[in-house]
Amino acid sequence: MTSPFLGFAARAGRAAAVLLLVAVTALALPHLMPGSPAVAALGVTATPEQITAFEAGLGLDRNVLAATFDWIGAALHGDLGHSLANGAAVTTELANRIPVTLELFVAAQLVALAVAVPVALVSAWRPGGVVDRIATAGAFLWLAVPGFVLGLLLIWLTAVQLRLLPATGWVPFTEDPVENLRHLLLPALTLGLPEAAVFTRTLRGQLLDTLDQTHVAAARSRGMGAARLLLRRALRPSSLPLVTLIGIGIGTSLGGSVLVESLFAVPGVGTLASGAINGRDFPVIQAVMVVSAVGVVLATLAVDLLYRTLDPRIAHGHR
Amino acid sequence: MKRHRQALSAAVFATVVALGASACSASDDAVSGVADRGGDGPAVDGGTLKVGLDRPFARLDPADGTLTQMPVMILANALYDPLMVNDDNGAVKPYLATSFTPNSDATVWTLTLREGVTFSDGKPLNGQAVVDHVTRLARPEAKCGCAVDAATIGAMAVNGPTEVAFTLKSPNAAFPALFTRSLGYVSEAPVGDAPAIGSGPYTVESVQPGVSVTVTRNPSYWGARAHADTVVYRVLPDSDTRYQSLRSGDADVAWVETPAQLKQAAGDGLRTATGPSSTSTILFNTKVAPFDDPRVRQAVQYAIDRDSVEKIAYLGQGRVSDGPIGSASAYRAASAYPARDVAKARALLAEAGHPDLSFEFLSDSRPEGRQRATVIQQMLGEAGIRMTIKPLDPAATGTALMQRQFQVMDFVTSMFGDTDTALNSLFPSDAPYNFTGWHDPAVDRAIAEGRAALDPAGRTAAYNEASKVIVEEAPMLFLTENQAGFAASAKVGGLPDLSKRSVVNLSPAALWVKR
Repeated sequence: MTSPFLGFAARAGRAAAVLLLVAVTALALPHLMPGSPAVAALGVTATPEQITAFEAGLGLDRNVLAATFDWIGAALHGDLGHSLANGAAVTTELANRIPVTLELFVAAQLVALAVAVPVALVSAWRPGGVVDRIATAGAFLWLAVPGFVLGLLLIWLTAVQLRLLPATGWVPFTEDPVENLRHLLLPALTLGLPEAAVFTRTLRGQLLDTLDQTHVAAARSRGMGAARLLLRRALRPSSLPLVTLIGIGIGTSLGGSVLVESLFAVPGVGTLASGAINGRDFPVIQAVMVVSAVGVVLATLAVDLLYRTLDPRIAHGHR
Repeated sequence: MKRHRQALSAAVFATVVALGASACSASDDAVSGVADRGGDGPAVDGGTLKVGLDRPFARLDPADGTLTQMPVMILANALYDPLMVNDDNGAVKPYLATSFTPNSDATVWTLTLREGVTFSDGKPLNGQAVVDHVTRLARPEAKCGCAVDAATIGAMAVNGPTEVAFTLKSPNAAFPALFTRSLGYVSEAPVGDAPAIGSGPYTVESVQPGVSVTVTRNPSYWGARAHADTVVYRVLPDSDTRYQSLRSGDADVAWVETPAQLKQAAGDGLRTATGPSSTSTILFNTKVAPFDDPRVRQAVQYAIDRDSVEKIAYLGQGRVSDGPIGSASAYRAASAYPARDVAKARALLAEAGHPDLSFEFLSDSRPEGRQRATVIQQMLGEAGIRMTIKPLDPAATGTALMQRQFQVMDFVTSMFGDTDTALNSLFPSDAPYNFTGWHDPAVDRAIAEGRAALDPAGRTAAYNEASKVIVEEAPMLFLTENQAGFAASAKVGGLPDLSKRSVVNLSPAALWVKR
């Protein structure tokens, strides 16, 4: 068994290495990607002098490693550079948009859990029953439908036909909590429902394993009710994979949110990233990449810690 | 393809410009076109107009080329007034100007401004303000694509509060048309990140770059009062979402250019105001084999059926293009464009020594671009030509164009909305955007003659002579003229008729929202 300190140091070292690799890759992007950032930013009507000045301003003539270390130094002081498109501080742009994406992520996870947990519990209690068969078919259906199709279907149904919810846009929670929730619901459903399908399948499988175990069988033989048995004895040990999925989801949700935020015109990190990619706004792309990587690394560490809380055997090296 | 700045319009004959000065205001037909108000009932003042933009804007400053692209000019027109505006059939009319007159050889142009116009901060919009604006946008740090146009000006002189004289480096009979976009949207220099202040019917209330902007009526506006109290612009980049937002009422007006949406708009209770605002073309890199041989280019030209491209890719919403002089151009004359002839295409390829021609085609990555490329691929296949499609995103497209890193390339542009700019920018040997690398002394001469000719008939003849050679030599193939413009919900009034406009330009001040 390794000491907690050494274990933490190893994890921190790995995280730092990952972040350094991401930062180098991000800073090398202007050299690697097709398309001149100057032409993208200035348009095809830019003069050669404008293009030269722009590329010099971007530091394309500098060594990538030196530029990376300079960038990291500035980033540690809170300076992520300035957008090529509008000259705004990238730190400010991200600070405005991260809360929106986080809110959307949390709402999507709540949607996924609210659907997955009860459905998985009922399915696992009566495997092969009506609910289980419907849930299985439904899960495959949700997984097969691309996110943008689901989003457009939801818009068509709830915004165009029923006029219940706004099709697009965003109202900050601090401005109007009710409107915030109304604007949040469709993008959260679009992101959350496919995840619910994955969660349901994963949790159902784990629950079936857990329900087969001796201590659960013993509790059942003692006459413990179904609800009590499922919620008290089976759900907690079966939920470990969900924690992993949510942790991984922090990283993958950024990819999903690029699509969903663009579809619903939600002003989060996703729309910032997609606009920056289309406009070759490299300072913004680089910052989004590194900040996302930091998010994933922190989430992974948090999952590690949560695992130890949920299942103490892991902390003691028994598993 | 990123839309190009100037789509000036062809018929900027100096005499018309000089005589065309008439009183107009933000809500009249100068910017917005003649409103079809017959079915709209009386105009309604007040309320909020919600506009969906198709692309993010970076800066609220005319120096930002995005702001004066057609889909976003509805925002520029809220904050700034153009000196000149594009009118029907390629004409250019004074707007903030009252006249723009040339000397005898079109090397000196005198601009006269309206009197009493002020910026929204109360400062006068006079001759000096115009000179300051043009000087600022010409500097590299302004990052304005219009610097190319500004570079044609040799000197500017302020002759009194409302008059500016421009001395050009070479004759340009279409010079006023350069003031329909960035150079003409006169503004004060922005301070820091603040929007550049203009003289338009609205002023900025709040802005979130790339996301939304809210404007409110300018109380000291010099012209007619805008109808809506407030206009809220939101960036809705996804075309399907933008369209559904119109249907759901989340947006009142939005840019639409997808053929299927234009076709179904009326059935969905939406109204449209569109014009022939873009042209689909194909560029050849004539600097490298095999497309340095005109017979190979002509073979591709003969292998394509433009009618089918229009019907399949554009669902009959547009029309075929016959050359660099657009159908809404004042210089338009009957022109011959080769009809499809597969046998002739094969014969030309055999004669040129390329019977099994194959090449890579860089296409627009959007669905309609891929569809267009696929249709062309099938047609060429029937002539024994193997075409590989490589989709490119807009940024990579720009680089490929500028650095001529292509064999054959899809090129959809609004440049042909302005014949003068298109011919002068794309085809002469020293043209700034001669993407194909092709040039011809006779074309150089004809375009230069047309550019210098103040006489409309002389310019028409010269430009058509150039057009004839361009179509024959085929450095660029012309496929279709495409409809694009605005769709609006039924509760929006004041929507103009833009069907004769090759530059689709709409002012929010002209629109109202029925209650």
